[in-house]
Amino acid sequence: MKRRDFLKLSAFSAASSLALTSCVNASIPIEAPVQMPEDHPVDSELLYASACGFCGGGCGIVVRNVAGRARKIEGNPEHPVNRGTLCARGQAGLQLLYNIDRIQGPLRRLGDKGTGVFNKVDWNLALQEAANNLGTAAGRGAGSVLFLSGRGDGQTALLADKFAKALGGPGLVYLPPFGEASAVVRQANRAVYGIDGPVYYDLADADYVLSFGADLFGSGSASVLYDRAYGAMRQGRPGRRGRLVQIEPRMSLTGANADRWLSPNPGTEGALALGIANAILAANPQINVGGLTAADISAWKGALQNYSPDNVARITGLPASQISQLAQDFANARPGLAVAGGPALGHGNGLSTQVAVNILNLLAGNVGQPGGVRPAPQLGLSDQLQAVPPSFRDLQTVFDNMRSGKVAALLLYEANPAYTLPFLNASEALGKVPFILSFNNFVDDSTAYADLVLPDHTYLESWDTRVPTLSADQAVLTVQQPAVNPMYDTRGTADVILALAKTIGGAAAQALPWGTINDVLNNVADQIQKANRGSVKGGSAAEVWQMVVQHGGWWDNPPAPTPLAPDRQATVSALRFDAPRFEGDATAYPMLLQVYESPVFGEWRGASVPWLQELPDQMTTAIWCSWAELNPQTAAQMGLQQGDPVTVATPRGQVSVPVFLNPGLRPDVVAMPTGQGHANYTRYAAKRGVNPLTLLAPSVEAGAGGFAYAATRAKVSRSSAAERLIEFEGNSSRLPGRAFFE
Amino acid sequence: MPDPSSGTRKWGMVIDLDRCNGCEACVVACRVENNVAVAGADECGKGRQAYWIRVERYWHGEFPNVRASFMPILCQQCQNAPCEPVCPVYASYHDRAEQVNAQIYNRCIGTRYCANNCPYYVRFFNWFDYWFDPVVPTINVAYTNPMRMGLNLDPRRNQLNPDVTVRSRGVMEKCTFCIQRIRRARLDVIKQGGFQSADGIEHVKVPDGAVQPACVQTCPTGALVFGDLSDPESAVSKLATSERRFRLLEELGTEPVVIYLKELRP
Repeated sequence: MKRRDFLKLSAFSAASSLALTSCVNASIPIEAPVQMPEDHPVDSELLYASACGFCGGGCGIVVRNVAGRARKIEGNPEHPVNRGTLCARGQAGLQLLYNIDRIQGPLRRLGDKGTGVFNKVDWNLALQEAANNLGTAAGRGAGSVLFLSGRGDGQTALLADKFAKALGGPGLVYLPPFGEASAVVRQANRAVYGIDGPVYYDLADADYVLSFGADLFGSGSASVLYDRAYGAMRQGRPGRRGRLVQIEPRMSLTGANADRWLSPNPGTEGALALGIANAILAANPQINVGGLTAADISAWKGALQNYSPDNVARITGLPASQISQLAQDFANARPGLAVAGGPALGHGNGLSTQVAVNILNLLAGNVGQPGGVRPAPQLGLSDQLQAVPPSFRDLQTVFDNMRSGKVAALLLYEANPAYTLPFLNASEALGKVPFILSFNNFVDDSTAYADLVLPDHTYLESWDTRVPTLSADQAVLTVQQPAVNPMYDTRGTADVILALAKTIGGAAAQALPWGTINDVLNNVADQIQKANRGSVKGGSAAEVWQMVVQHGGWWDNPPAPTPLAPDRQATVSALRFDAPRFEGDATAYPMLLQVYESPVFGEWRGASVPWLQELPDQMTTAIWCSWAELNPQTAAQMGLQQGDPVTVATPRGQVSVPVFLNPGLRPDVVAMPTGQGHANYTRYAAKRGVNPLTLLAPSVEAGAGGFAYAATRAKVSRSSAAERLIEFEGNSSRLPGRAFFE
Repeated sequence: MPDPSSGTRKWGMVIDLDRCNGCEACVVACRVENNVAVAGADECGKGRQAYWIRVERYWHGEFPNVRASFMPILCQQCQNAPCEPVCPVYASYHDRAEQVNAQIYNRCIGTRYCANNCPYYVRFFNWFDYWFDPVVPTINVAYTNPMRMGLNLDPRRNQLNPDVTVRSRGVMEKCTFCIQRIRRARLDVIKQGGFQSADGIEHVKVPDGAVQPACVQTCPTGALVFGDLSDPESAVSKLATSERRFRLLEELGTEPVVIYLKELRP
């Protein structure tokens, strides 16, 4: 019988069997003819508790090692940040380890800077060459060695910081993702709460959350922490379900989960917060909040008097009744919680917005209370680094120095400024530095400019510690241990820095007296043993360390929070709304560009991972490509349909991409995700899509010197060609959930 | 002949849509655990990608009154599965021991009738082999050693889960409720002496929570819960009695064991 006949016959019999049995289970017991691997799950596996290194979240992981190879990454059930869960990126970490295009040994530049062509070189030679160049550069005086790092915590970063200082530099310069706005948040927290650092928003116990642009679930490094809190807020308390209201120009992943999504005019989120504060004070003239004096409140009342709901309605474009309603809902909830972040802080008036939102929390009386705001727990150990990122204004100076030739040697560790900082002309600046040493795992956009590459192990192959950017109740030190032997001829950056310091000698050798990372970790073990508190205590330092490593880290209850200490002067002067200013001419560039951190890739790192390239973007379901989002009404006016090529132009440049019609976007905004558009970064990411950061103007936030990344105007026009929009959703015409939702 | 639907165990899953925030951690976790192939941009453009679990996103309304919803969808493990009777070679079968709908890859001849008959769109055809080339050309590194010819050993095979079949071109595949984990949990119980009867694996009681498919294990919001629906004390059974419960396309009579709980947003 021919295959075709057989298929016909079986089609017929299949159809008839369907008709006869009418979907009843086949009554013949069927067994697999041979045993499949699924029938014999392997028994000889090793589980290593370690730390996820994909972002700064510091989640605990458990790596499953079978036959000497890491096969799966799970969350560490004991870890206070993620409690056994992980995000999509954390799950995909194996493909950083097993990536085809990982750098497999030390490299020396062969082609021109930026071309990314290298030659293999021996470790001893490479180390000697690096030490010589760094020593010479340090000899040129203070500030001639610069260390840019994508990580600001852990022992490697701590050693890097000491090393950079010993070579006469400013220490480690930590580059967090562009949207983090940490300078703004820090200054506002100091002014309003008297807390010097980040705060944790206790979603899990909140009744009503008013989020001004904060994409708690989609961006930033605390997404797993807030995902967990979100589940608890909705269904973790029988009979009590928290509500979420999101305020932003483009519906983020957090906005997509909100009960109510509001979109005031971009850059007026602060005015809305002021209006709500005004309405709360107007409705409760005798408001009495613990920790606040009557003088504080009357000072704020004075500062807020111009922001009646009617005035704010004119500014924000939202109806006054809606503003009053928000104020009422917020004040009636016990407790109400206000959160700011994302594009709301990415305008020139970002500091005022954060201060106004913080004031809402003070008026709700939720600071330090369950369901409110509390200081992020701090580790009480010495010799731990939690680097404070430079403000955008300071970063501009750093890159000006690079361009003017003041920087003689640059070190790159998990940092990719050529991709993440194009608005500071980072590529041009990299081209001006005589010697660049990169520790990165891949030839990425910036490593392509390196003269020498001394590749690091991945986080699954090396020792380190990590301090999560945020944790809820406990201060956490996550310990990263090797789950597999190194795949290639790479070396841990901590060990390389120690070796370089020894070779260079002088101040560097004195500042870094340790032999290897293990000596440094012994030091950490001593400190934990001496602290004699937290999750592991008692016994010798070696015993303590063994338990700490076995459980994936050490956690400890934080000290009692300090009492509220609002700075009346600073808050009153910041409690005002300045109209946002946008880069670009309003007639030539009628729209506003919003660049957002991709929830799939993060800022850039995930793009090298095929599992993430093929993970549909949550809101658009797009895979393997870049796109620009337009509101369907705007697109209809321009005659554009889904997938049509468009050019997005700003005063800084232009790119061509396919268009995605997003109903959750203001008609006057065009939105684009980061992640794609690398010049160099593995075969999966290089030359795929566009980098929207190249379109942003280097606008500075006025109050704290943050990056006003949401303040660039844009123009969208039909283009002749762009790459194809590949959508997961577009391929499946019969979605079963539709029957339920529609 | 025992009725397959009267088995003592009935693995089931509850998906709380009020907790799910669409983060898609489950999608990657599943792909890694079950060796689901990456199709690449070109194949995806032809609609040939495979996701044993996916998160569907729905829009409601128009700007400014717009809202979105997420719904994770995986094989509903129907107890009356439309995909089973249509297979001409019985590759799609009902595992009696575990009461899950499984696929025998080496029996499948790729007629794809099962996928055509599945109303949930959760069966996927392998249009190509996953097998990796032994060596791959390097990028970025100019070769200096003529013996290496600018080639690297392909490290990607190391990521495969040894517990799960690597499917070849031309066969169907689908979610198995991570049957390898169920089997493993059962073997663990046997090893610890929980094995009572001589007639085999059927009488091994796995404690509630001892088996978690990869998607459930990683879910940060706690939206996915897995367990034994025939045990009234299991977490999944308790959740399944919620008044918010519904099942997808219930009117088709497929008897899914994946139970959704409605979201409560306005």
